Amino acid sequence: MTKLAVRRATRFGTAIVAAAALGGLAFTFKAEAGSGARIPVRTPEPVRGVEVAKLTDPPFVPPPITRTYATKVVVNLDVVEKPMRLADGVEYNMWTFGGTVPGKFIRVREGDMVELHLRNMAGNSMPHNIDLHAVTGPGGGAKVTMTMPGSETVFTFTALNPGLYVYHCATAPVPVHIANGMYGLILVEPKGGLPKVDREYYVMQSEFYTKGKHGEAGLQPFDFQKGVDERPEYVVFNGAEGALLGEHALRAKQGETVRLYVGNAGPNLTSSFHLIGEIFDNVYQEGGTMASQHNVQTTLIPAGGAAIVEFRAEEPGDYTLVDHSIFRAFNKGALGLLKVDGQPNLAIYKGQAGTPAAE
Amino acid sequence: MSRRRTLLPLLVVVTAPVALCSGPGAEPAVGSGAAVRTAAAAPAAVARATTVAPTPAPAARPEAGVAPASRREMARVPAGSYLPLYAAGRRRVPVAAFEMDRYPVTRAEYLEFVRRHPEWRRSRVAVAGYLADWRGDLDFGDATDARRPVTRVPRAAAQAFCAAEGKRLPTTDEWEYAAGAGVDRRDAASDPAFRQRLLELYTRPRGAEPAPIGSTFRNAFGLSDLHGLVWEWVQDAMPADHAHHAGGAHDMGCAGSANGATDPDDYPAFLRYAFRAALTPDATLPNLGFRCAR
Ligand SMILES: [Cu+2]
Repeated sequence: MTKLAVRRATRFGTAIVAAAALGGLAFTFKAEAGSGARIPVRTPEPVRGVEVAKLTDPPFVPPPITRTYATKVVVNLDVVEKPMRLADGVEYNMWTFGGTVPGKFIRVREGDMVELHLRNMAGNSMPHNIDLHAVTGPGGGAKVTMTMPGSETVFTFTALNPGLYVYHCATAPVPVHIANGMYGLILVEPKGGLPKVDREYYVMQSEFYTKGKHGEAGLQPFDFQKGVDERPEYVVFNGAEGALLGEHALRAKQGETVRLYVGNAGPNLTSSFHLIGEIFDNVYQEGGTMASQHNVQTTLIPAGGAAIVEFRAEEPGDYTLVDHSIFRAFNKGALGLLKVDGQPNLAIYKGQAGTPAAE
Repeated sequence: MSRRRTLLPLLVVVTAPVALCSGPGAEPAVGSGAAVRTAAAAPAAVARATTVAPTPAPAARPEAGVAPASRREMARVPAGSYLPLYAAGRRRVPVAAFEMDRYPVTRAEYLEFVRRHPEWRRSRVAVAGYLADWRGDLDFGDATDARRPVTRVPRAAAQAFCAAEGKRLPTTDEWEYAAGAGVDRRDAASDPAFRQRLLELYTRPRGAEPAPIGSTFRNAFGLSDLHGLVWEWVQDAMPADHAHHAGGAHDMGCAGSANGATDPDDYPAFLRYAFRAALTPDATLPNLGFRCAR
C-alpha cells in the first residue's frame, strides 16, 4: 500500500484501505473519485488440496462448507439430452446439466479454484458449453467449454465473488439451449459461510415454449414464435408441473428455519416469487451476500438471476410457492408446496367455525 | 470417452480457432478444450478450406486402376444464391450450379469403398472412434443397417470416399443453399413454417442410430434427408462460414452470436453453424455423416 493510496483514501473519506489478509485473500477497498463506491481488489488466495464436489439434484442442496481455506474443487458435469416429463402426459426433449432440470446444484467456497469438467454424452445431438455467472472472465466459461457429443472439456476458474449464481448453456442459439432446460445454480459461499439454518432447498423457475397448448399430450417440440413472443405454455418450478407437489413437496418441521436458494432461468420472464402464508424474514436480493431486506412478501427474481430467502416455519400446514404473476401459477404450472409438520399454534393462526350471519 | 485433448493427433487442422465471445482471443484456460493438435502422418491430405473455388481432396490412391463410376443418384442444383447466417451488408452469396448426392452415403456404400480402398479400413486408420460401431473392417453389422447413413467417419475419410467417386464434399455455401429448399419451393430458408419444421427435426430425441436414408423429406431440388437425419460434413469449416462476415470469425458460444447475423430468427441456421463451429476434422460422431458433390 502506498502512501499516496492512504492519502487519497483519507481525503475521499469514504474509503477504508484495508489490505487485510482475511483468510489469505487480500481485500483492498479503494475509493473512486466522486462515486464513493467501494470495489474490492481480489487476488486469489493460496489453494490447498483437491476435492471432488458433491453435487445434488433439485430440490436438494449439498451440505454447507466447513473448510476455512481455499481448495481446488473438481466439478463433474454431464450434459444429457433426453425426453422428460413436463406435465402429466406431456414430454419434452430436455437438454440438461446432469440429467435433471434444473441441473445439479454446485456448492463451493469463495476463493476456491474450480476445475469444471464438462462432458457432453456421446448419445447427444448438439454441442454444448457452460456460462457460469459466478465466473470472472469472458463468456463465464462459455469461451473455452464448447464441447461436442462424446467429448469433454476442462476449464478452471477461481470463484472470486461469493453469491448465488445461475449457470446455463450459451451455445447458439442460446435461447433454445436455455428453453430446453440447460441451467442450474452455483452457490459460492462467502468465507465463514452463511448463517446456519435447519433446512436448505433448491428451487428454480423457468418457462417452456411448447408447440402444443398447455396440457396437450405427447412429446412437445420447442415453438420458436412463442419464445420470441414471450408467450410460454408452461411456467414451472424445478422443470415440470408438480415437481414440488404431492410426495415431492418440500418439508420442514414447525420452528425450523428454512432457506430457499431460488433461481430464475427465464428464458424470458421475471419472477414475482411468493410463498403463500409466509413472510420472508430475510431476502438476499438478487442472490447477493447481504441479507438486504427483511419482512418481504414477494421478491423479484430476474431472468438469469437468483435470490436467497429465509424464514422460520412457525405454523404447521401447507404453504404454496408461486410466481405471483398469478395466471402463471393458476394456468401455467408455477406452483410448489412446502409442508410444515407440527402442532397448530392458536396464538398465531386460528380459524373460527362458521356461524349463520344475522339476517 | 476420451477428452478432446487426448484424441490422436492425426490431421493437420486447417481451420483457425474461432474467437469465442468478446474479449481477448482464444487463449486456452487450464486444460481447456482448445488443445493444439500437431501434424502427424496423415492418410490423406485435408483439403484447404475454401468457399469460392473448392479443390477436391487428393484421393486416397485407388486400387489398381479401379475408379468405379458412382451408381449413386445425384441431383442437379441450378445456380442461384442464398443469404448466409453471417454476411457483410446482408449480401446474398452466388452459388454456381453443381450436383449433389440425393442421399447421405450409406453403410453399404461405404463398405464398398473400404473393400476397394483397404487403407480406409477401420484397422488401418488411427482416428479415435472411426467406424466404432462396425463389427469389423468389412462388416458394418446387421443387414438392416445397410441403408442407414454411414457415420463415425472423419472428414478426411469422407473426402477420400468422394474423391474415389470423382466427387468432393460440398462447400458450406453449396450445402446451405441446397438446404434452404423446402418441399415445394427452392428458397424456403426464410419461411417461418419451414424453420419451425427444421427446428423440430433438429431437436427431437436422437435414436441410438440414425434412421435409414429417405426417412425425412425430399426437397425441391430432389435432395433428401438434408435435415434431421444426420449432420453432414462440408469441406470447409467454421472460419469459412464466416468469411462472408466483415467482422471475421464469429462466436457461436454466447448470446453475442446474434450480433451481425443476417437474421437472428433463423434458429435452424444457428444450430447448424454452432455444430460446425465445434467440429474438428477428426470428429467421428455417431450423428455425423456426409454426401458428395461435384
Ligand atoms: Cu446447450
